[in-house]
Order: sequence, then C-alpha cells, then structure tokens
Amino acid sequence: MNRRSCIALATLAFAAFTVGCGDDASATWLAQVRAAHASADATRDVAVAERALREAFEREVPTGVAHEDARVVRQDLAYRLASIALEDDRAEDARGYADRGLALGAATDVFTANLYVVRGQAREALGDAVGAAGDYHEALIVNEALLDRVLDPSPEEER
Amino acid sequence: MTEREDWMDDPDLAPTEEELAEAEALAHALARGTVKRELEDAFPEDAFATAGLVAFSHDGGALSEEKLGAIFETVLAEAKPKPVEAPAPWWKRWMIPIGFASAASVAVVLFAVLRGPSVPSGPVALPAPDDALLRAQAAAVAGEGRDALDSQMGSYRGAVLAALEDRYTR
Repeated sequence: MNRRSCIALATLAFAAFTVGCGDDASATWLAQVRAAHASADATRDVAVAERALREAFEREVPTGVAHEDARVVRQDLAYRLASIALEDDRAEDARGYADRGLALGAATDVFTANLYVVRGQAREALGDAVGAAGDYHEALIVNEALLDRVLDPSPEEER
Repeated sequence: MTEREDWMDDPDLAPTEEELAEAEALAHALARGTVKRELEDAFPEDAFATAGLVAFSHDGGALSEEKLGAIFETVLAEAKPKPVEAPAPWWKRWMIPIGFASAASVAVVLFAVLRGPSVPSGPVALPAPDDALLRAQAAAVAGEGRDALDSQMGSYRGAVLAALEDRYTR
C-alpha cells in the first residue's frame, strides 16, 4: 500500500464517518421544502409557484424523517397546491391535490383541517354541495378540537 | 554436589541428569574460569574450589595455547557487533496507525448505519397553532375566504419548518 492509497483510504473513511453521523438527507429535504414555499411566495406566476410546490410534494421523503413529520410537511404543500389551483379556477385539480394530501393520513391538526377546507371549496365549486358540506363538517370538528386545546391547554396539546 | 548412597555400592551406576549438569558446569568453570550462564544453578562451588586448587598446583593456573585460542574466538564472537537494521520508510511507519484509524472509522460508520437514523424515531412536537390561525380557519369554513387563513399559515408554517429543521439538522 503506497502513500496515495493510505491517504485515499483515510479520506474515504472520514467522509463515510461524517455522512454516517449526520442526517443530511432529511435536512436537505426540509431545506428544499422551505425553498419551494419561498419560491411560491415570491412569484406572481401561478405556474412557477405550482411547479415549485409540486416538485417538493412529489420529492421522495428521506427514510430518516418520521412518518408524521413527513405527513405534516406534505399536507401543507398539498394545501397550497390546491389553493393555487382553486384560485386559477381549476377546481378539479384543487380537489385532486386535496385528495392526495388527505391520502397521507388524517390527524387533529391544522394541516388536515386546511385540506378539508380547500377540498370543500373545490367540491362546492364543482357543484358537489353534499361533499363540500361533509368536508366543512370534518374541518369544523378538527378546528373546534384545536380551539379547545388553545383555550384549555393540557399536557397532550402537542401536535 | 549431590550425594547418592547407592553410588558407593555400585560405581557403574549411570549418572543422573543433575550430576551430568554439575559435571558440565564444573568443566566449563575450570576451562574458562567463569560459570556458564544457563548452568548457574548446577554449579558446584565446593567442587570448583577443590578442582581449582588441584589445577593450580599442577600448572600454576597457566592456560594452554589451545584454551587461549578457544576463549579468544568466543570473546570475538560475542563482542562482534550485530548488523543494524535500516530504519523503515516513513510510509511504513504511518501505514499501521492509518490502517487502524480507517478500520475504526469504518466500524463507527457501520455502527451508525446499522443502528439507524441518529434522530429519535418519534415525530417532532410541533408548535401549537394560536387562536388567530384557528379563527381564520373557521372563517374560511364559513365562506369568508382563505386570505386570512393563508396569511396566518405563513407564520405558522415558518415555525413548524423551524422546529423540524432544528430536529433533523442536529
């Protein structure tokens, strides 16, 4: 083993050690999500905003991210995508985005409630009054539970 | 010197190993004047003194040419300097510690990989939404539009992402 081989081996081992110690993939994924939101905030171009948010939504979630954390992040992206589509008079697309977001799971939190709100609005725009009422009802149940927690905080108020 | 009672009865009896060692030590001491290192325990001091007196009375302690030559050869052999090994090149000296360091690093990486992600497996405790956000959400359900909700979500989203980043970049 010559000098170059020794140095290469030591460098490789150190790099592998550095990568193994951190959780770079999760941090990178979160940074990309934040960048997508910032990009959507900064532009008035619906297509640009939608593309940035959709890429973030469809990007593979690193295995190191907890399932519930990933759900929260992706449901928020789906809510923004549905909102953009609804404002662009594409109610069908809006409902599709909301459906994809709610398919990730449901919880008593702001993100799930937002998706019920925007899907109800999309269904309302599509003439599905019954479906819209059902979504609004679900949104109000979650919203009321969250308000109860805010007004009467308990140790289980997290998430 | 050891003694055996049966030796007087049977002079032809074979010597024991201890007697042979004593004889060798005595012969070496008489020939060289020193005790052979590995035969120190077997060296019979009383016999040596007696034999030395007998030898001295015979030739006055003078060494023959043959004995002098043999001792001289032995001394030269022992005094001859051993060849000095050339120092190992620097990369050979560093190869072992670098190899150990590399192996240790690989072991640590394997441990980290097999153990799984370094962050706890449970979800992050997210910041609770404030009542302004929840009221804006309720207003959106009531058909008052999502502008207030989207505005409130902007700051809440920032807080949520910050909590997640704090967790996953530690």
